[in-house]
Amino acid sequence: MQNKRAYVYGGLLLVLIAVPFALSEEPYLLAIINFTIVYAILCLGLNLILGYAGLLSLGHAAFYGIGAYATAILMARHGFGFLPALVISGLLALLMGFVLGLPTRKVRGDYFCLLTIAFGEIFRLVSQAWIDFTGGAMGIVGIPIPNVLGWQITSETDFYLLGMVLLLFTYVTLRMLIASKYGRAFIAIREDELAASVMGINTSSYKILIFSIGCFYAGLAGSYLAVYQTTVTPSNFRLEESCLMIIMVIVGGMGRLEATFAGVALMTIAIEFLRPFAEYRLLLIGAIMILVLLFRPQGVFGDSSFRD
Amino acid sequence: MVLLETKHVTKRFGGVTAVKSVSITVNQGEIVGMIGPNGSGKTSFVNLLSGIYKSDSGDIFFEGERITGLPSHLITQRGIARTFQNLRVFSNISVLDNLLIGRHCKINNSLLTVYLNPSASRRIEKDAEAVVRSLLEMVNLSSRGNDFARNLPYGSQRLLEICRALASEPKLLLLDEPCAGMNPSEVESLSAFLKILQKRGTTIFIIEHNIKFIMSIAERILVMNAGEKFREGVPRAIQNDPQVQKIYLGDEEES
Repeated sequence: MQNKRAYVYGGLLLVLIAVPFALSEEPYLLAIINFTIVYAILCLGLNLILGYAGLLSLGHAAFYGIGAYATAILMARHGFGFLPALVISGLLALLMGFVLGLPTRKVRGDYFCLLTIAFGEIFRLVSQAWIDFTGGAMGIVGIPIPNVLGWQITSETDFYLLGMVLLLFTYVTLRMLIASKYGRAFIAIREDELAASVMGINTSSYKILIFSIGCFYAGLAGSYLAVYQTTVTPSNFRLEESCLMIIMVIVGGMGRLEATFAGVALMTIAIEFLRPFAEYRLLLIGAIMILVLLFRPQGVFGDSSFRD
Repeated sequence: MVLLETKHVTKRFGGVTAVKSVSITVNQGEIVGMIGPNGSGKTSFVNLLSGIYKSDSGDIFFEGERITGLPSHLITQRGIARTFQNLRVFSNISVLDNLLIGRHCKINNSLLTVYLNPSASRRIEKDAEAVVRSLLEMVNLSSRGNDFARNLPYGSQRLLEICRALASEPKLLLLDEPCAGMNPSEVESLSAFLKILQKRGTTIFIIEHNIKFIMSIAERILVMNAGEKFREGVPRAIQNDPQVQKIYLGDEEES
């Protein structure tokens, strides 16, 4: 049994490593896959917040942006290497998540959601208006090529492999958390906050904790985006981005990490196929979301127990 | 030895005084019952004990220490666990996970262990699972561990809720109408189960409307009426008290 599992994982890993080499003649396709990896990291963190703890955050793009700007500024202006910039970006997003998470002690439900929208908009406006620091609407350009322990990351294939390492890190660390008493405490808070507190769970601290941890991964994704695009502009972090992440998590299935992969992949494919419809695309994406909510409210690959 | 003591505990909601200067003691190892008509403040009183409500005045002592106004999670950590009148199991998750959540504060895991020592973390969680499995055996639900809690029959869900409270190894167990909705045979097995718990050293405080059940199991009974402690005594004395019969059957001042 144990052996069989090891083979499956080993095989999967080989396929994942082989993908970029098989697609080396298709840079566009590989670029789409790389962006899918970014969304997968973002949505795994968001699923922790939304799916496990039941906190609706429409400001996730802001934490993504915080990570991206932190890396851009540190690397382009202060000569930081990629690894330190990556760690600092993640921790900065975690810290900001902690600060924004503090009001969950008093503010609940829809009001917390409004707060996250406001935070997202403030972030976007500041990044547009604070030209000296963020480069305004033009953003920050000329982010240097990342170098990880001597590995120069330049081609799409290199970025694919770097992204996969980050994604694997995200998935494994989230799994470890969810398999512990912390993961169960998050679910308890989602299911019945009062009962959770009577189980000895400090619900307000745990909500802040989960929000901070979810934002940490958004910071990592932002850091990756900065070195991948070599530029960072405010338009990367609009409310639409946050909404798209929410849709990906819901379509995949809340409260189950593996389902997030499916949600991200399905929505990325849908977006690509709907490209010819130009401005009607968002309308069609909305329609997909409504159909999913009508016919499979727990998400395409969601846990059938999730019926909220 | 006194385990729990309240001194003139009062709780007001606007103009209504739900709990009016109630002073009680619960001794180590006792089973104490609380009865009273609907709206007499029984559940409010348990909410005060478990930290869901903050009292307006008065004090609550547990093991000699003042716990007045502590948040409910700290009260649970000190050893008071409870169940709810209107059944609050986590219905969308498995029976085992319900119990593991109940054991939350006894699981000696930390974020550092989770991230830096995954094998130790896994072992700690495994050990916790073994403990809650033995709880399931006690109530003959071992075969249902992986079922969703909502798929259990109602009586078993009530037992599960009690087990979930027991998973935190409480010194004092507060039960808010545990028999509600149970059939007579379920009531009987509950009664037997509670007596086993008492033998193992758990002190139990029960609110119950099922007079036959409470009279058979409790050693001492408190009667609440209109937010006040109306009577206190052994079951036989309470049962034969004409005043208690009067508030239960209702008279002009009650309706």
